[in-house]
Amino acid sequence: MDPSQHKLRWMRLDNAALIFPASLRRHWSNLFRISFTFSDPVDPARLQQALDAVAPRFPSVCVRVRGGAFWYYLEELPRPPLVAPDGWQPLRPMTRGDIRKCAVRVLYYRNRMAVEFFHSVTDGTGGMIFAKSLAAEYLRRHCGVSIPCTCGVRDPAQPPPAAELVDSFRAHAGPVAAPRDDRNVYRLRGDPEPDRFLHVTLGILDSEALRSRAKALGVTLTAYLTALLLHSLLEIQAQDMPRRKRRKPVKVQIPVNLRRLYGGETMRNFVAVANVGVDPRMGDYTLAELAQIVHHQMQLAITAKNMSAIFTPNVNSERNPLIKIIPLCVKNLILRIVFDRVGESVATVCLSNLGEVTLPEEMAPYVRRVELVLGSQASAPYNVSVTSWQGRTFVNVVRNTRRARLEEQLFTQLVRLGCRVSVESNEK
Amino acid sequence: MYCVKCGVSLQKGIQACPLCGTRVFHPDILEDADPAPYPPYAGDETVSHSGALFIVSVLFAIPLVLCLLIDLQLHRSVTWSGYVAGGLLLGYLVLCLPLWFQRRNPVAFFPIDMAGVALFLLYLCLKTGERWFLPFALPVSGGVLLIGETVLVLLRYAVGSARHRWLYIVGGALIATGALCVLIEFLLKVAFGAGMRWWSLYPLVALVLLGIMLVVIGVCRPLRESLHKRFFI
Repeated sequence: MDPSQHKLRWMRLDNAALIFPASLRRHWSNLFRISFTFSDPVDPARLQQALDAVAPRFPSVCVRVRGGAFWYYLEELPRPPLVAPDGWQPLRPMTRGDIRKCAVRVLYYRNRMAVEFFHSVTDGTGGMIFAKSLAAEYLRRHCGVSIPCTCGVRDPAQPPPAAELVDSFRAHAGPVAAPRDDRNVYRLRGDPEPDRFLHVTLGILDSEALRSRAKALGVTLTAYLTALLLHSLLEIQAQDMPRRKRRKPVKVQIPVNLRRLYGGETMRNFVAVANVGVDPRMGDYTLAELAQIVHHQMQLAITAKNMSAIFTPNVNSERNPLIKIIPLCVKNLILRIVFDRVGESVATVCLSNLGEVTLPEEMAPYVRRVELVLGSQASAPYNVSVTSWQGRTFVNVVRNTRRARLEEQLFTQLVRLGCRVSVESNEK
Repeated sequence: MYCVKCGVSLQKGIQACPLCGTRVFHPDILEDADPAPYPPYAGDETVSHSGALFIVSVLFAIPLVLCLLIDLQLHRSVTWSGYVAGGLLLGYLVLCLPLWFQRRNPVAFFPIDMAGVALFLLYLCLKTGERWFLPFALPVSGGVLLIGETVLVLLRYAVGSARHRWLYIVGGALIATGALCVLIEFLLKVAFGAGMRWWSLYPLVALVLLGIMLVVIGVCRPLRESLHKRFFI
């Protein structure tokens, strides 16, 4: 069929995605980035060919965000986006004009291919599937290797199944809405970079060494890293606020892949967050204590019923007939206020762990690194993201302030615990 | 290489620890730099000023519209508000119009500004029912445009690496401005019937002397260097 005659698909934004276009600022948008570092330099022409082949398979990913009278919607792109060289600034904010044209960027720099997603399009799991499929197609074309469609690599020749395009939040919203979390949490502060430069500091750790330490405390790797992060945040707050009574609770937001709880293979957002943390006014915590607290809080929070209760209020709001008929411009104002009041203010920092990345055996020799980088929060300077690949754990800490406080605390703490930490950064 | 303060392993060739900022140095190890994980920092990106310009435009528009409305309400026609509106539009043209463009080349904007000035003068002339535009305002505006545009073009495209050439250009412009003063006095006589009192000789002499001084400084390198040493900023 003539591509110009192809009817472009469009779809409503999923429930989690609704907030992101409304919360856009001139110098901030909610983005994340998944990158693959290959053993050879990236060939842009081949990467473009691979993208052209893969894009039609993901009509909910290669999209633009358009505004209707009452809601935003995703519209399939008439042609795949163009690959572009990576800039000195990763996760450069997407403006309203940018997302109206294309909400995904495919970038290359030396051996690295990176895909930057506006969060309305998909979540980390969906983004990883897209990036894996693109990387596999690129390697097929560039290295002539035959890569099977397993381990999350999708076949670009197959049409997208309907199950990948559904909004799973609506299907799994329950009758009970959980109350919102307390908003009085510790917020990290710092002198902002005058040019809004986003520092990305990557710590590379030995996965086995981390896992053995987590195992010794009887917790998962995510819980262990969260405990380390909490410990670092408590240290920073103690330095800033010597009077214990004035300290505030420290909480870490952990995105939970809801596909694991409810099943389904949607490529849209299907993620909710669990907030875990401690109150420093109760006393000092050891790392072992923190690990146990985080472990048990995660066990309590991350259940199908509890997660459903967490995202049900949002689905109920979306279903409310009065909210439905509010014009988009007014809705934007309301959603912006909601985002500022409850979106980010319930946690000190976010830690997103995509876990151990699995790739087809045929693909693995060509891939050196797989990284996830979350953009900074709108009102707080830090975010942390983690992936593991071939025995190495990649911890990316982003920051839009001058002084590297959190990453210094986090990585030096790991060094004191006997872990070898290699640090890379995009420092100016 | 490890950071002596943090103990973390660092990428090759890095100048300072990204965590604590401690300078990385080992006298016995000379390492080739690893490829940087991101392209080199290229400074701040261009920031759009369209929001601020929109506000400034509205601030210009408010008195303009208010004056026109008040004038229309009081006199049923545009009387004094025409002068205010013309002045505001001229001010906006000169001060704000270039800011809407990313490349603000004065060579392009100066003729536009002078055209705006000439139009405003034409409006004043027609409104007051007098006939000084063609014999006086137009040639004077043209003279200013000619001198100014020549200076701008030469400063922008002819200076190049020989930075002292601006002395010749400005010196020449001063001499030409002196000549323009004589022309203005002559045009005043033609347009308004004023007698030739030769007042224009005073600015002519002063400007010619200043122009010659700049040219001499431009020609004489030791003098230029001596003055630069004493007056550099």
